[in-house]
Amino acid sequence: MVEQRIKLNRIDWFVLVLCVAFIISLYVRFWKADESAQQVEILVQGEKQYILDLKQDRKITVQGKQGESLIEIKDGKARFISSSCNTSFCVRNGWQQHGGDFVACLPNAVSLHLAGGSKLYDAINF
Amino acid sequence: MPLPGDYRQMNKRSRLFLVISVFLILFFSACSEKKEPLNVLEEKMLVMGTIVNVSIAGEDQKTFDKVFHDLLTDFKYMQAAWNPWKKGSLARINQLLPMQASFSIGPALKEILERSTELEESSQGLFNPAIGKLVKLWQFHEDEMPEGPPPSAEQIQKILSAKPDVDNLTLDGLSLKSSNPEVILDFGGFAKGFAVDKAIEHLRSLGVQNAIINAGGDLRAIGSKGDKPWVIGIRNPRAESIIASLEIKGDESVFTSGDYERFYDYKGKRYHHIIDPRTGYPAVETSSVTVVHNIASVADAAATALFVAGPKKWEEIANSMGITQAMLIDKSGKVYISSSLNNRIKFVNKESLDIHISENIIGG
Amino acid sequence: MLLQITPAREDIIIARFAALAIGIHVLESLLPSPIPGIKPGFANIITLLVFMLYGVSTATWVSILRVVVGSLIVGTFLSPTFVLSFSGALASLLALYVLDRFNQKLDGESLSILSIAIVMAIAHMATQFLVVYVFFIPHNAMLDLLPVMMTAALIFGTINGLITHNVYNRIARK
Repeated sequence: MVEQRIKLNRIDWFVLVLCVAFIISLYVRFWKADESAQQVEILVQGEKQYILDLKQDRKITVQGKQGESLIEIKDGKARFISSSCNTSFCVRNGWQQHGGDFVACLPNAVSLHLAGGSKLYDAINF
Repeated sequence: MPLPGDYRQMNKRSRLFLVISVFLILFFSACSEKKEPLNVLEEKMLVMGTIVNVSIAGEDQKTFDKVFHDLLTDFKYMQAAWNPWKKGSLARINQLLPMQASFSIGPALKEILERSTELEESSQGLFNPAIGKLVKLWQFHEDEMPEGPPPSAEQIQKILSAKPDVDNLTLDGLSLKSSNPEVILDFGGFAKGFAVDKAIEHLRSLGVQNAIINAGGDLRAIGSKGDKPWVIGIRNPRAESIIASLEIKGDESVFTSGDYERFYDYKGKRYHHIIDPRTGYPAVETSSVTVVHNIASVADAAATALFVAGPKKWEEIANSMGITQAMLIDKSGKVYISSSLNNRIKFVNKESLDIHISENIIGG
Repeated sequence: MLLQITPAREDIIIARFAALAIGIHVLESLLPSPIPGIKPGFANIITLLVFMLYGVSTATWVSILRVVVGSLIVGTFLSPTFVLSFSGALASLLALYVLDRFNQKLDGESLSILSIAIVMAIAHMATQFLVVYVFFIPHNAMLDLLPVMMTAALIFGTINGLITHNVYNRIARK
């Protein structure tokens, strides 16, 4: 159907290869990131105190209303290890992993909120 | 090279064809109603003893910030006004009620009192806003988690035998009088719902049409995200995972009452905050109840009442309250669900659940 | 006294080609797209063709007219969609201008219309993505879409470039 085959010279090929390489680099860069959450926001008394990358393992002590809450980040997940409250409801909730997940130690007014990753739900009822 | 589209060179047939094609194209392009996806902005506030998450679609940051600020003010006001014990409007009323003499109340509290009275009636007393004294006895009246020990049978009987009930109150205009010294008002069983309703009303008056207000897991959603509906995930009462999801149609509230929300363990036994007004003890047969209904205050009260009703009586209470979409999970993990809710809910792992679809819910 | 506007030959060319591009644009708007923003963009063939026949400035006119009038007809004028279309069009025209200057400097072996078409498509799509990401949906999930959008730009740019080449040959014969 093409009347005259399109002639591509060296400069064409150069540009084309450049474009394709650029696009492949995008896949490499962005598609390795999986669906789980990327960051955890730690709120104290309703204010955002920390925004931490979930890819970096660490333990952090947060000063809340009553006392201290110990929070752990590992393998892209976050949880309360211990908290100054007596029921430790927050600790019992275990690891949080998906965007939108949240767990709070209400007596101490410390809460963890996971953000980023693909969001399956606009809100979670519990 | 001749200019393209020189219509003077066309014959009559071609011209007619051209005109008709243009008309058809314009006509059909008007037909396709493409909905744009709306941008969603979200922010959280710590109020009413929980985290309230506000999501609004289709507004810019400036509008969102103003609306959010207004809602925060609203919630703070309501929290103070409806606390049964701490200094505020309701606390004042609770101080005066045992005197069994008339006094005047504010119009805002009149509304919530009347609404709670309707709900006590329709729930056949399983939602009872007059048992504030019992709630305090169990120490669930504060934001902080109680430690126990549980109250003695004598203490419970003392209050129970007086049968505190909203019927013991007479409201004449703005004048309130109690005939039962054991009546203390505690709207905890539906206060969140009522607050969410007020917040949604306020949002609407500001012109916002697509939003979710999620007060610690209990929410009301209006509108949509533009091209897609709001999708709500319902969490499994026992595990951290999502058990089911629901797409919101129009204006709906999703409220869940669970035995895992506020509780304490004492000497190996668990005591949670949903007290059965008939026995004076926490209701034991249910693990959680999820109710879907337009009005949040109704959904909240129903979730409480159905929880108390348990697997044997929940259908009867759902009918008397006008609830058609509800789900009850009992202590063994068995799922009881109304057929209308079952038709639209998407369970994540249906095979792993023991589901019993109810035939007895009217309209459900 | 009646005001008489006599269109110059260039005006007529621009108007006719713009009309053609608008027609294609409106027709294309009827097609469903799996992800908003991913369209073949066949109207760009007209822009490319006009560029090959008459140069960058004429092509610019045709392109802008296509975006503005097209959005008026489809009903998205001044909507977010329009902002996207317009910024994408500006970006691809800028790319066109740069490549054209580049070609002029080369004298001899110059870029074919295929490469130009591909670069324009990528510029168009990339700008649209940036506008969405910065102003509308600053969400991490958006980044997952980027490689897909760029691949689509590559494919559709190639198709458009080949079609343009084919059509140009046929016209140039006359």
